[in-house]
Amino acid sequence: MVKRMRAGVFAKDLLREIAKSKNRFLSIFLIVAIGVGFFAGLTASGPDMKLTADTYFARQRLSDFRLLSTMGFTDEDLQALRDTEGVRAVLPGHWVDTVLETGGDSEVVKAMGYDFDRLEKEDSDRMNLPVLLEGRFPQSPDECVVEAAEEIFGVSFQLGDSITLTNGKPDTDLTDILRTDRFTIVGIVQSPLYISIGRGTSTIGSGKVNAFIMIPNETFLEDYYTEVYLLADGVEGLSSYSQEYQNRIDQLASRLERLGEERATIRLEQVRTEAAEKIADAQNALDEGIRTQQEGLDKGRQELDDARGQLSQGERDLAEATQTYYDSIADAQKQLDDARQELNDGEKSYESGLRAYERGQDAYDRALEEGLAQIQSAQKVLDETQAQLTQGQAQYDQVRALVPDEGSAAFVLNDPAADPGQTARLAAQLSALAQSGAGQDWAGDLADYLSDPAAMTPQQSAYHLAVVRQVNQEMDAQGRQLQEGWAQLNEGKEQLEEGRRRLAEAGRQLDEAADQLREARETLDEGWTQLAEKEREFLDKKEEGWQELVKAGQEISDGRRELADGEKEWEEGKAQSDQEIADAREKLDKAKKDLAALKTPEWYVLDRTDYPGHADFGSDADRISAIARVFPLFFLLVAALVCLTTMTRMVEEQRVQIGTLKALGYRSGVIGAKFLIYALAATVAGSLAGLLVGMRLFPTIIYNAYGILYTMIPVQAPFRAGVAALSTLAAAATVLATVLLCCRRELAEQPALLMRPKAPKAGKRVLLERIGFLWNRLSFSYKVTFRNLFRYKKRMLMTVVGIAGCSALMLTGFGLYDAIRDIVGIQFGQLYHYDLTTVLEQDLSDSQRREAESLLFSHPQVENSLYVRQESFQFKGAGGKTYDLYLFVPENPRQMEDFVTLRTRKGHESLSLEKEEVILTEKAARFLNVGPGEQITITDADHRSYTVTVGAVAEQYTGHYLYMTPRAYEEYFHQPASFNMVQSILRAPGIGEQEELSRRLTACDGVLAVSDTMTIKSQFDDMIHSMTYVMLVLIVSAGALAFVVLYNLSNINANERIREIATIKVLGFYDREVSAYLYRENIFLTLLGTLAGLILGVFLHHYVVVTAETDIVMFGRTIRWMSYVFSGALTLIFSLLVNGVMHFKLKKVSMVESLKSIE
Amino acid sequence: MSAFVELKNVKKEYRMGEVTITAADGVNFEIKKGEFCVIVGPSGAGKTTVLNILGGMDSCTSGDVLVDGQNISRLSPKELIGYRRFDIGFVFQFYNLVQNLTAKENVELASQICPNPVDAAQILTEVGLGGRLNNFPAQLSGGEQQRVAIARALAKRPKLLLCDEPTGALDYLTGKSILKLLQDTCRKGGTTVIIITHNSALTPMADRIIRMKNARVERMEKNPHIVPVEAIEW
Repeated sequence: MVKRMRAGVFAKDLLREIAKSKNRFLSIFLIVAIGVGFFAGLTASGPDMKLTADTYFARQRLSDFRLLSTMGFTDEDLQALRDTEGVRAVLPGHWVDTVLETGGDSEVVKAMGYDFDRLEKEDSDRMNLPVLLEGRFPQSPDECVVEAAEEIFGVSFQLGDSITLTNGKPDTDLTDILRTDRFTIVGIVQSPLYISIGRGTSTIGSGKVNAFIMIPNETFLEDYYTEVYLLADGVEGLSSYSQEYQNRIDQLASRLERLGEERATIRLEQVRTEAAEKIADAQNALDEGIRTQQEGLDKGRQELDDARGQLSQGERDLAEATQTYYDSIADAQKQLDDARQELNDGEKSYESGLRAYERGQDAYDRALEEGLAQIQSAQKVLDETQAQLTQGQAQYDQVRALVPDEGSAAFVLNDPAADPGQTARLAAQLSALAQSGAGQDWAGDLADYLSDPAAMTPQQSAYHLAVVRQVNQEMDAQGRQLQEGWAQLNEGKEQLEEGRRRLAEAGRQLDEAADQLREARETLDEGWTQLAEKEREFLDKKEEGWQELVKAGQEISDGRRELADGEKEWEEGKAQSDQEIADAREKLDKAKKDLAALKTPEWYVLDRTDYPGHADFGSDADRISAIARVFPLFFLLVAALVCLTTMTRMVEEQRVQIGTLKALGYRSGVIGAKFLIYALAATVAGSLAGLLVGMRLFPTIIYNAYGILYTMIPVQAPFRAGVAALSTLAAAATVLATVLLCCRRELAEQPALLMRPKAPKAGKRVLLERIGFLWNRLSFSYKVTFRNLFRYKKRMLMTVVGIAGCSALMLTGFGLYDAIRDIVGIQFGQLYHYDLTTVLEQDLSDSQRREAESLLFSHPQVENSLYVRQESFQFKGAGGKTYDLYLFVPENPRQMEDFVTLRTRKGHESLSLEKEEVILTEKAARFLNVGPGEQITITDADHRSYTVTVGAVAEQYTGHYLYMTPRAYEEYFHQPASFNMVQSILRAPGIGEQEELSRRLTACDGVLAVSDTMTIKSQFDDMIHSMTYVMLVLIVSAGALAFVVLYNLSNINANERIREIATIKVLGFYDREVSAYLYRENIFLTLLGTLAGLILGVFLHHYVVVTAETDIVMFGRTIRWMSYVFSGALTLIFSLLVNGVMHFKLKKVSMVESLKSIE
Repeated sequence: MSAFVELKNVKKEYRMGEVTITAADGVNFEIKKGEFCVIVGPSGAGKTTVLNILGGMDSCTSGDVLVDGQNISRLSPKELIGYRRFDIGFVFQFYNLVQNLTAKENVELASQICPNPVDAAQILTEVGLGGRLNNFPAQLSGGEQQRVAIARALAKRPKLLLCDEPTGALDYLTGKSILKLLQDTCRKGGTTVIIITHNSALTPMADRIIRMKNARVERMEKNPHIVPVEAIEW
């Protein structure tokens, strides 16, 4: 008995079968490859994302805990932590939130301290290792590493740049906390603590940390640590997203919390002591300060008083000086007056003297005239006398001179020859005498006598001598007379001279008087000159003295002013130091009060789920896993359907062979094995191909899509044997089940029956035919189509299901895209109307406020502005997860609708904040599972909780908001809302003008940040971009599925009806007509399937959207009609594509072969 | 009267891998218009091949096939479809009716693509199925199904009616009635009818008998003594 076919023959038969039916084999192969690839790929995506994260965390030694304490950690705390069971490593650190000015904006930057030397030392306590992307790690306290900040700040930092940090809190200085506030960038890092764009919340600035920088721990001045990171024991190798990890972490967390309570008491005591010491110090300092102030003030007072005394003395001196001045002036004046009087007296006596003189002069003149006349006449007489005398004298003298004296005449006459010369000379003399006319004729006679000495006779000589004697006597007489006349004349002259002398004397006396007068005049004039001089001197001196007085006065008034200034200064100094003392006292009081109010410190034990983005990443991975649960199942289902039809067809085709084999005595199992193995071969091959591609492709695409949101390492996509086995087994099981299902009937039948051709399925009337009026209207071709459709119900159903699946997937894909677009479209198009958000400093000075308001409320570019308070809160969802929420309080709730539309999502009923008081946004309401009228609890950054009653729930797609009226705010928070933000609507918001306004706004002193809606919108666009990939994957996969399903089913349809096709070909149907004969069915089925798919898609879409949205965004819930059109059209296009391929296949159908096969 | 159908040295070879099978090895014969011709021979003699070639369902490897002066061996695939559509009626052993169509609809399947068809109901009445117009093939007996097939072939008013073992799947009496119908079609309608059969007993009813063996025409003869179908026994 033959128990089983020989393996060789069996294999040969199988291989031939595969070769013969490549299309069929390929169909199963492809559908399984797509199904398994998609299933395994998507199923692996979530775990791969987590694996990637875990790999990254393990590599960077991400801490399991972050501990915060309201009072920091001491070394004792650290030791206690180290000693805690389950703690593997402890890393203390510092951090401070600071403000960094970047290109106008104020960014909140978290400065984290880090022990960089731990990195090199491979210290066992090292944790949260930063990944160095560029540059190096800091080596000195003023160096820092930053994160790749371009997308965060919009400013690219270069290595070597310097940044200056400021403290966001107004009352403290950053340099109180840090050694320096200026850092040089030496490297760019990424930190495993921050895998997403979220950096956590802050109590300063906009309330949101924008970025971190890492600086050496030693830069911090604090003597305690502000945070501690821990590594837990026994969680190595566990995924941080696993329940087991979380369980262990939770256990350790509760231990740590207990420790925290213990340590808190100790720490409190410590802080109290420290604070008390500090207060004592401060008190001392204050007392010292007060003393110093009093001393300083006293000294100042003394100086001022001295100055005042000096000033008074000066005034007195000045008065005295003034008196002296006036006295001396009067004296001088009197002296001058006296002198003047004297002069005037002198003048008077001079006048009288002058008059006397003038009188004397007159008398003199008269006497002079008389005397002169007498003198003149006397003179005349005298002169006449004198002239006579002179004449007489002259004559006498002439004659005398010539008259020779007796001696000489006697000599000569005695002897004329004794001296001829003398005789001659006497002769000449006598001749001259004779000729002188003086009647001396004798002379002539003598001269003549003498002329001839020889004639001379002594008588004559004696005569002549006697004559000469006589003449001489006469002459002597004459001489005496003359002498007498002269004497008389001289006497007259003497008398005249006397008269003259007397006159002269009188004249001289007058002259003397005149001289005296002149002298008196001169003396007077000199006196006057001197007086004038003195007066001038006096005036000068007077002026000089006056000036001196004025100057002294000036000096005194200057001194007064100075004194007044000094007084004022003193007062001010007093006021200031008073203020300082008051401040110090206030601080001290506050410190005392703080000390009194000092609460037990609290430890915050944060595990990885509290790290920014960490939990989100897990949810994102879970979300993908959720999608992976629906979609791939769908694919597998479709794959099963395809296999079922394919294998059914195959079994049918092999009826005769089955019969033959049975007739030959083969057992059913052996015969069935062929089909099983055939299907398995296709399935396993398809699975392998699908696994190889899918497990690599899908995680990569999806991870990279999320890569926009997360900063990590490249995806870790290992071959997952489990998933591979699961999906392959699932596919194999499905396929095997379908094979068994369709073999079973055939294998159970009698061989004889099998060997006969299976009776063709009988034609039947369809329901439609009974509707006569409709049926009769159909053309023949359509009647045929409808009959056929209903004849092959199973295949029709499968085709419809397959196509429906495709279009549902595509609709989901497109709908997802719509949903994402809605975030931007509805949120920024319909709900948000403001263009600009300006974050202001908390404590704005009046001038800062005026400056900002001048732009925000009066700039021509601004249409409308609204003051708003925005505050960061957290709430715990119904699922226990914590979400961020913004409290939003508009100054004027009535204006609210101009800036933000509040409405219900369903029905778009507008909500009035004024009326509702508190409005919560939809997704937050969903997380909290609350509706209008219910209460929610929100927690602020300082962990204070507030319970608020929700008035209404509003449509919102990005973030969670709690809108509240100022009145409600005051009611819940017991303080009026101070507005820290302004929203503005711009007129014609052109980029350029908007930027200009933003720039000017950020330049304002009190403006912390300006963000325009357009930028936020584009950030969302980026975020949303990642989901577009997922959508694309869906659409492409769905398309591939559609093609394979349609092709396969069309193929089977054609194969099953090959005789019919051959027959109509024989009848002379053109190729086109032959194709159309089948197309109509395909098209109808496609339409039906598409319709069903679009309906199914709506539900699938809803599921996927709810699953796929992240915590902070709500996707749109509506699908645009265009998406229906697109998915429908795409399905139809795939259908047409399949029809096109089928056309060629039908063309090749051989009539002879097809009709012969049955023989 | 010249030949209506003429095959000249028609050869048909199938290449099955390395083996070449010669299904027709230089077939020559001619049939005159209006003749009732029976091609007879054992299985594998090549008669179906010849009929397929003649019906435009298959092409010959070489040789000429002239039908009404048209050399169909030279026609393009499309012209060949036209030839089948307008000139040929085919009747198969297994009827090849479309199961999903009623008798009338099966006929209409052919008539709707024809320019001048016989009314489906009329032709069905003529083949004796006037009362079964709206029955599906599954509801008809074999003979009735074959009648539908014949009606479908005739509805097109073909020049040539080709029948491949039309009675092969029928019982004796039914077969006879079908043959009668075919003979009547030929005699009354003037349609040239070619029947292939392995049953030599049918030859007396034919105008022309072509005997084939081993892919060749063994003998072609005109039947001088035509016997009515009713008189034939087998």
